[in-house]
Amino acid sequence: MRLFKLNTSVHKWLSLVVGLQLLIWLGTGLYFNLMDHSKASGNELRVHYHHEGNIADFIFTPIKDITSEAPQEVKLIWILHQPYYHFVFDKGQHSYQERRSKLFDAVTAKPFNLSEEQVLTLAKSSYSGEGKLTTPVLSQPPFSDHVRQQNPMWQVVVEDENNTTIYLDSITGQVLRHANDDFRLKDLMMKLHFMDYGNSGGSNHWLIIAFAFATLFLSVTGVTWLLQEYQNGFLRLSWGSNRKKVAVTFSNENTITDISAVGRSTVLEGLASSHVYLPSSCGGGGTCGKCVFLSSTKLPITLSEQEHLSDEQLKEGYRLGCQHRFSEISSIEVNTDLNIENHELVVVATNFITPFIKEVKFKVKSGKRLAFKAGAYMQFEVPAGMNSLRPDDMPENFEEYWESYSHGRFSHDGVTRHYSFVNFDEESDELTFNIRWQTAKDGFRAGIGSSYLGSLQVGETIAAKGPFSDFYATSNNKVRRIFIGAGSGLAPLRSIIFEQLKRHHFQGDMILIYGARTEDDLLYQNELNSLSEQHKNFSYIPTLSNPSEQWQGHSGYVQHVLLTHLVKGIEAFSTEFYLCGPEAMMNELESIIADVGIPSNQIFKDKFCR
Amino acid sequence: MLRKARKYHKWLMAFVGIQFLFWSITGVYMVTMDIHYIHGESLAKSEEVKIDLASVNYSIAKLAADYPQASQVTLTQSMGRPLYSFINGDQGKVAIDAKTGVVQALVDEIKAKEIAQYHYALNHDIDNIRLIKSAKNMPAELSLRHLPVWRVTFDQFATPTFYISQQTGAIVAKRHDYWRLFDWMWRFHIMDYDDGENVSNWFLFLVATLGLMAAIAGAVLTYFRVFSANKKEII
Repeated sequence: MRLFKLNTSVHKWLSLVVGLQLLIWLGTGLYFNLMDHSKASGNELRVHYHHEGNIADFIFTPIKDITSEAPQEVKLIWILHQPYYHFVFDKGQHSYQERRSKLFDAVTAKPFNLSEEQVLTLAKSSYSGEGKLTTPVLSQPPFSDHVRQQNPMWQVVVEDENNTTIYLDSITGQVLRHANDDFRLKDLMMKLHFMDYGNSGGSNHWLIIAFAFATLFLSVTGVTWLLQEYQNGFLRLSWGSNRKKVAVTFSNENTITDISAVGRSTVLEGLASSHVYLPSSCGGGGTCGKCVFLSSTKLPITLSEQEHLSDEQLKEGYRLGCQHRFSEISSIEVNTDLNIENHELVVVATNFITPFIKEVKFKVKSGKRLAFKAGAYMQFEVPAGMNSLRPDDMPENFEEYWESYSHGRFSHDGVTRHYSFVNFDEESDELTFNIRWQTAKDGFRAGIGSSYLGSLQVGETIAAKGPFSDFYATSNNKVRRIFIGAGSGLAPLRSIIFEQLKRHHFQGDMILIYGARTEDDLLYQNELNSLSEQHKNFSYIPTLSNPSEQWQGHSGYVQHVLLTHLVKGIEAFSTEFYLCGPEAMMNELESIIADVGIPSNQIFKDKFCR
Repeated sequence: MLRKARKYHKWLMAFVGIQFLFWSITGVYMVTMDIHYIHGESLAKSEEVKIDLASVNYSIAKLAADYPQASQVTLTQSMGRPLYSFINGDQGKVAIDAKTGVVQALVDEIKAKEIAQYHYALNHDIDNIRLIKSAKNMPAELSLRHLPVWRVTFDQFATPTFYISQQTGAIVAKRHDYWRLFDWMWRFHIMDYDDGENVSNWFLFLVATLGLMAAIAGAVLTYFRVFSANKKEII
């Protein structure tokens, strides 16, 4: 079944053949639609003047007494109020066809020929303009102003703005045509529309017949194509602009990022709107077969895919980006280069929220709002330079925690560092990160990234690339989710929890087990407490490894809290775990979770130190 | 660029594509059918009979005396006899025998049949004949100025039809189904589904404008597909 390809390539090649003429047809058709008919007729300045006299005022010679060969027709005509017999010997069905005729004076019976002065008078009486009429010229066909005319005509050129020429019958002096520039334009349009490039004066010639058939096939293949598009669901009108976020794996670089696009756009277009370009030479017509992607879910197979992809490819889940909508896919793999954008972020707020963690808020300098799945991260480019060993703008109440760390500065060559978003994209137009100041254990070097980001002041900028994501909530909505984090590992968990509750109105149970050292180290304590009060399905369980005596919550590590939960029993196949913290902690947690029979594809880990 | 062109071409054509099909079907019909055939020129024998001038005994002078208001006087040879036809003031068309000056009686049914068969170039029986006197009973395929007329149809699948003036006996119009189909094709071509006379209708304007945009998008597609098909990626 190569019908689809046959159809589309016939369409393409026919369009090449008839395309230009088709544009001409449409353009000239529009001209006919819009033209001023009275102007285009050429008769704007033409008037009808009656030359008839009174039949009773003349003494006529009987027609039978005229010396002439036998005519087919005799007409009594009037020229400048004088009667004449117009003998027609031969003529065709149409006036432009060759005709043989002669005039006789109806009174004297003598043959009569028009003089130039008479023709001029006749021409003048048909013209109401200001232009000056020149001497009539008896001209022979062909005439560019009257292509079909096969008989000679008197030609009277008028010197006016519109270049009028008056044409009169060579025998009778009857005004046949006023041709002017308006008329000639219409005539040219007609010629173009009828493809009368050989001046046949008609529309029954082989060139237009060939083009008409080619155009018919072009239309038929086009309509067939439209029907196929309709069958594949690409012609349904949907005005919705619901956006969908899809995790895209770039197999070349082995990176994953989130791409958000309007759900009704095709995968090809959706990716392109985020500057990820699948190869395509047909622009989404399903004719080149190049915009291949690998879908994690099973998608229907279209005609075009049948023809461009092998059975094995189709079986493995390869599809064409132009043949599926963005709303159909959830995660895909592409073989193209990731073209994640670089942004310049400008600091809009900084605030120490725990003794060692600074909340830093940015905006994209260009004003662009980034779309990302909660759990995503940005890659910051820290330039080479000198950093402080400890922060200069720490609040006084945290001073006690920093007593053992010395002041000073150190130099470095610059690094790239990854930080997860604390918020989700629609929460605000700010991008919030928690920067945990990696203290100088040896007394000489603090964390390069954290000390640089932690020292940024409002108004300063930093280059960052992203967003990237490989840690995000599934789209399952009938599951229980347990989030376990420690320290600044809360960031992606907070982002996901807020997105689930505030945007997706997730109804399943969610538990956050969050470990820190002391009460002062708990991030977003009040916010999380009030969130758990507002949402019955969300519980917040902080646990401290080094609590004060006033602490009434859990003590110890998150692992212990988790164990007490697991003891209560758990539905292994409908519970998902999201972990973020130090590597050792996550490994320990993972083995505990796996031990109770949770499948590994329900455990999601965000590497704490990237 | 290419993707945009693809999108616009598809969506515009989704709305006006069917009219392109109509345009091309009607266009094919109109250019393949010979216009003279459509006009029914092959239905009637071309009359190239010469006037028997010697028998024109009723002179123009007599005509002028008898009908002082006569205008557009024409002498022809009709069915073996010379015949004057002219407009006699308010009375309208009059035909008189040029031999005798006798006013030709209004064409009756027998005479109409005789005229029809005399001129009909093919060989079919008359199927139906009726006199049309008012615009109310007149088919749209005839012009009002020809009334009153005899409508004579022949027994053939294309329904050849002669309209014969009741006053002069002249065949004023020739129609057959190819003409009628052509008329419909024309209506579909200019998208005037009302009376088929108005090329300046807004519907045609709308569809032609959208169609032109769609075609330009298509031209962009063709250009890129044909002339740069092997480049890796065109955006």
